[in-house]
Amino acid sequence: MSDLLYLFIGFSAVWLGIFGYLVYVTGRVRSVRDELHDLRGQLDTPQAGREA
Amino acid sequence: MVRLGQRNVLRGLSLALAPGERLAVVGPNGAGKTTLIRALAGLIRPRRGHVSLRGSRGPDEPAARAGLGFLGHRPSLYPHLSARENLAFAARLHGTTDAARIEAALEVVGLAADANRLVRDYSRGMQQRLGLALALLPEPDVVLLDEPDASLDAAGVDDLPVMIDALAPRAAVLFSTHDERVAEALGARVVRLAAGRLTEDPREAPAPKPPPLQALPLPRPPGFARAVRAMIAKDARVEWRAREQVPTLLMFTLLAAVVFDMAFIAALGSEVAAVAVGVLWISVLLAATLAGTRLFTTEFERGTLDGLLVAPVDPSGIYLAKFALLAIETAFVGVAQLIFLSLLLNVSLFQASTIGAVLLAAAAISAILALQSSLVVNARAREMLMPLLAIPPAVPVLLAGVGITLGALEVTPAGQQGAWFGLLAVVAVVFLTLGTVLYPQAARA
Amino acid sequence: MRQAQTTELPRPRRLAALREPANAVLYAALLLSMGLALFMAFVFAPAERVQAEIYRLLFVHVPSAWLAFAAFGVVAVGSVMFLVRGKSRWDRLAHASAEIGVLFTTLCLVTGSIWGRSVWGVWWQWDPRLTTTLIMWFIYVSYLALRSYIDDPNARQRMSSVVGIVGVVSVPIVWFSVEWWRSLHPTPSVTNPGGGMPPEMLTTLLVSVAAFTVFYVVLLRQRMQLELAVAELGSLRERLYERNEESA
Repeated sequence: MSDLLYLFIGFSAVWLGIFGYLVYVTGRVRSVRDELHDLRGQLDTPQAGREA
Repeated sequence: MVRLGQRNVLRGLSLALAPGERLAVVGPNGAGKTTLIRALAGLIRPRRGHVSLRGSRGPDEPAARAGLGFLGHRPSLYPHLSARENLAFAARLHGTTDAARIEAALEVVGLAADANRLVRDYSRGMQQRLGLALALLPEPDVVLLDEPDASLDAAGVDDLPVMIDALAPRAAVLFSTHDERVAEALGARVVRLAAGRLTEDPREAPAPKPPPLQALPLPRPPGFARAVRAMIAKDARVEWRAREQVPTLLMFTLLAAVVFDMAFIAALGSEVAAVAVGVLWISVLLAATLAGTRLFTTEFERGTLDGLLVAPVDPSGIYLAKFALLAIETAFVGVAQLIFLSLLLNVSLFQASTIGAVLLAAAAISAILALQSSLVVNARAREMLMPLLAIPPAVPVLLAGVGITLGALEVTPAGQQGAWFGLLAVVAVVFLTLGTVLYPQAARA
Repeated sequence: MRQAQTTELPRPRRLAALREPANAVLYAALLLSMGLALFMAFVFAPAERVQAEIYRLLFVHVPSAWLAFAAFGVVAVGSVMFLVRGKSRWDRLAHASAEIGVLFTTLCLVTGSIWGRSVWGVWWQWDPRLTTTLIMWFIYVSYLALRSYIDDPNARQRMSSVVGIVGVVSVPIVWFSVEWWRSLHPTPSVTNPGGGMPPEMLTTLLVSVAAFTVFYVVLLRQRMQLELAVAELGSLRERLYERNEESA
């Protein structure tokens, strides 16, 4: 009976591991791209905040 | 274009230096002067563009560095060697043993009277003079000096032209400085470097058109084996004077033997042999890791690694010399541990086969560690990183070592010793080959 | 401030990645093959004579191991190409593949451990295959550690390439360990002719390997895009920094 439990744990570990990694990397890609987007916006706008 | 970290330090830069010409690169701190000189000496690989010496090959080729004199931001000096020994070592790397030339260089830079003192007792100004002597020693035809006037007193700055005229009269000299008077005193053409870009001085005549590039004859490069021997001898002499490694490692292994003796002797019956074998190999591995971490980092921290990389020797020679040094130290410590354990735990570990295993294992472990040590020179917290990097590939060595010593103590049947010795030899050969091929790839960032 | 900006500049949409045809095809292939592999592992493949149900871990355990080997092979190729060509692209490939390889090795060790608990009654056995796999895992963890300990990108790429090349020596050692030493671990039954695996099991195993391969490709692409984006971020920050310097 406990064999089925081990089987379940084993498959869950693999699926959670791989999908968790995919979700993590995708999330990182998205946040880095957001930051890129913001920085590009800063570069495109003419220099702000120059008073002197 | 030269890139350092995330920043492009030098951009769109073109320079030509005619034979015998003197060129001063003037610029404020952070302009990129040091980076330029390091790129010209082949210590940094440019992302784009190339450097050619004598119109032919780049400084990444050992033979092309034979006539190159180099003084870096910090002179490449060994504090535990005397001035004369430092110069003699540099001369050997360049393939000469011309004692008269060394004496002449010492005379010209004004250090003849202090030639036998250890460099660690030198003032900063004296070290800089010795660094100049080192750069001008191999009768170079191309000389690169990074702020030669740094930490020299007024008299020393005045002497600069004399030193160069006396030791390298026909050489093309490129140097950096932030003091225009130095450029003037040396009669040099001036270019200005600011934020990684070159601007010609408007007051100067336009740069002479560089002569058509033609390959000039190269000085004869030194023999590879001779250079490796010189490096091993240098390290051995430094260790003899500094006593930084071997005595401490011997104490470490003795301590390991004593501690395990105390901890287990009451509880041990027939397992004493197994414990002795475990202590032997763990202490050999840890001692080698401790010493191995320092192999390249001491050179890197002193700034002497640049001196070795600029010498006209293939960088694989540096790896082989470091390997040999570590193998000797590890073998010494391992054999000592065989004696300690035999005495303290009363096992007969001191036998021909165990000594052979320790010697061969020392070679195999050192082949691994010398390469890993070269990889962590510019890593943070390298002492933490080294064991993680070095121990996994060393596992086969430990397995074989344990196999041979257990056989020798007759814990296990002695039949498989040949196979274990074979494994040790294979690991040593594989990693020596990998290190010889790959170290030159890692040497220049 | 941040709020205001989101209304002005449209942010990349959540599933924008799926609009690229190549990505759409890949993700479709991924879902299909994983679904099929799961179905076959539990329904199509028959129960085993001795081990009954628990043997089905084979269909995730073996593909993880093979993909780990493949990933580390890619690390070595990327490292060699980086040292030869000097293009950061190759280094990005090596880094991404190493991380995924470590993931697959971890999964292989975890499933193996669970399997061992059920069959041998212990979580860990000092067995050549297990031990060498663990050492291989350490080698690539140290590869990733070295990368994170070196700040200068040039040095990081060159130094880690060397480790990436040296490390691949561990792959054949793990592979052949069951043949070189006496081992509890079963010897390969796929590459051996007449290895005794029923055809349904073999088919299921191959489908699982295919599904894991698709997964590897998807992960690799995504991980490399991350590397690329991070590199671009660095150079953009640099440009902003330079512009601020010039205007100062």
